[in-house]
Amino acid sequence: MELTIQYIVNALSLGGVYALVALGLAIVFSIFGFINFAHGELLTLFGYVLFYALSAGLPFGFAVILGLACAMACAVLMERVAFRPLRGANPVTLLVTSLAISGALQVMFQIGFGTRPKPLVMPGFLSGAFNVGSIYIGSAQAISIIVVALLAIGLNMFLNRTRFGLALLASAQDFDVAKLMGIRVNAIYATAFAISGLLAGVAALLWISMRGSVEPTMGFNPLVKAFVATIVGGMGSLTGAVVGGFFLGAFEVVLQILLPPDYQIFRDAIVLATLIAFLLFRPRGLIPAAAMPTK
Amino acid sequence: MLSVENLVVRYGPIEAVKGISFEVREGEIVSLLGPNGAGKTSTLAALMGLTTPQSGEVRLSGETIYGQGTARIVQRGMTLSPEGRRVFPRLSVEKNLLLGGMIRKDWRNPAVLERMYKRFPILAERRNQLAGTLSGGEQQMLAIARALMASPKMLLLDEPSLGIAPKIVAENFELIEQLRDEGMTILLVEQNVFQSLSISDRAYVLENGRIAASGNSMDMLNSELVRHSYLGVSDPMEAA
Repeated sequence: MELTIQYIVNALSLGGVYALVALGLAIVFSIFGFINFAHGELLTLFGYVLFYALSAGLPFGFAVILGLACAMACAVLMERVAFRPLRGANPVTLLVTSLAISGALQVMFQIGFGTRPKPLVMPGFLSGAFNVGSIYIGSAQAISIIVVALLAIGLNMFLNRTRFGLALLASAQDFDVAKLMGIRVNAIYATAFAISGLLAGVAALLWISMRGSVEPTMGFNPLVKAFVATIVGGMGSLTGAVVGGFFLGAFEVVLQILLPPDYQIFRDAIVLATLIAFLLFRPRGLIPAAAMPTK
Repeated sequence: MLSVENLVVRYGPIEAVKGISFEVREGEIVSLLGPNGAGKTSTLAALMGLTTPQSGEVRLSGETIYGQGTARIVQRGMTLSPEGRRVFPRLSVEKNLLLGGMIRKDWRNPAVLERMYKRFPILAERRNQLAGTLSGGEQQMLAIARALMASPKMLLLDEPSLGIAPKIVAENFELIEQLRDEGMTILLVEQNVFQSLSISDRAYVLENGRIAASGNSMDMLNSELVRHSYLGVSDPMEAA
């Protein structure tokens, strides 16, 4: 029983990080119809900003806020510099563009900060652990579960109850007609990217507190997992992204339990095989998006 | 209310609108008629700031709106019900209407919605249905209602009769007249010449991006020349 709860906690906290990254991908996908492969680099950027801000002696809270601000600014900049000029282009063009940005940023990180992982010591409340009865819960795990729940609920309310949320839905469906409603579509797009940057930053904080270091390619793994999560959950559906994220987290924990130690290296292969199975047999995912772009 | 001078719209090498001038006075319905490809929709797109015109001047209530962003023009009080309805198909009827009134400070005010539902009872019935599931005629009503939600002083309607059952077309034209009687100023772009002329005050005929004829709608309806040259029908009774 305790072991089961332990596994559930693990699944929830791992799934939560995937869900956050997947949410960021899904917001952009729901409008533009492409997966932003440079999203992982937003996580990395947050990591480096946090690392250098802490090295410079800034207080932790301030360093986190600075990191979030940088991730958001970088996301907005991506849209402005790379994606906006391609507006109306085939989503595949945008996808390839995002791969190029991802590669370019990784190289910039390598040149600027070196290829070796930089150890990041998190403050006690993130790196510690506590016991509930005989269940061992990492603080990062607990915080991750709470933060993901709050962010998912908050985002859902933001999108469903506010003018911005409605404007976003409209802009996703018909660019010109959204303008005819008096919506400043450019501002909506920038805000959508800013939100994806914010989600990436929070995900990065949780991801880093689980792994303890920052390196140029650290964004790749969560990005691939989140990509799988968005497809499993249902492309472009925000609920689907969250469901897919938790599904994937649980799936990985189950594999960890079931697979004999010698076969653990096949975990990612099995996860990716699941992706292929979904693409073949249920391409619209577990929870298909109502507002999926048709182009 | 709306005055347009020497408006030129160009798409690359193609000049779709070649320097047209016209005006819509307060409380009027003005028809902008002409065959496919005459430049009617390009004119509307330029008026709304959806395409940037090459040159010209556009004034709304005396203030220039030429070259301004669409959002700004909507704020100034001009809205468009676009060709082919273009409702948001995967949003509910109610959300479509809310979007129409998005620029209002009181956009959530149920009284505004209720007023619209009173005018369009069928939309009230379908308020929670996805707009894409409505019939063509109902979608057209929704598109017009959506354009009215911002309480514009100038309403542009692009082909409200396109692809719609004749009975609903008649209803829609009645609605347009009713709006005018309530004080709305309307620019009606149509291929449905006879019905447009019969409800409008004045009309312009657009041909190859130029204004080929203009005048009082009643006179145009009765003018042999206009009927022969521009409307392509010799006699309405004969045609019917």
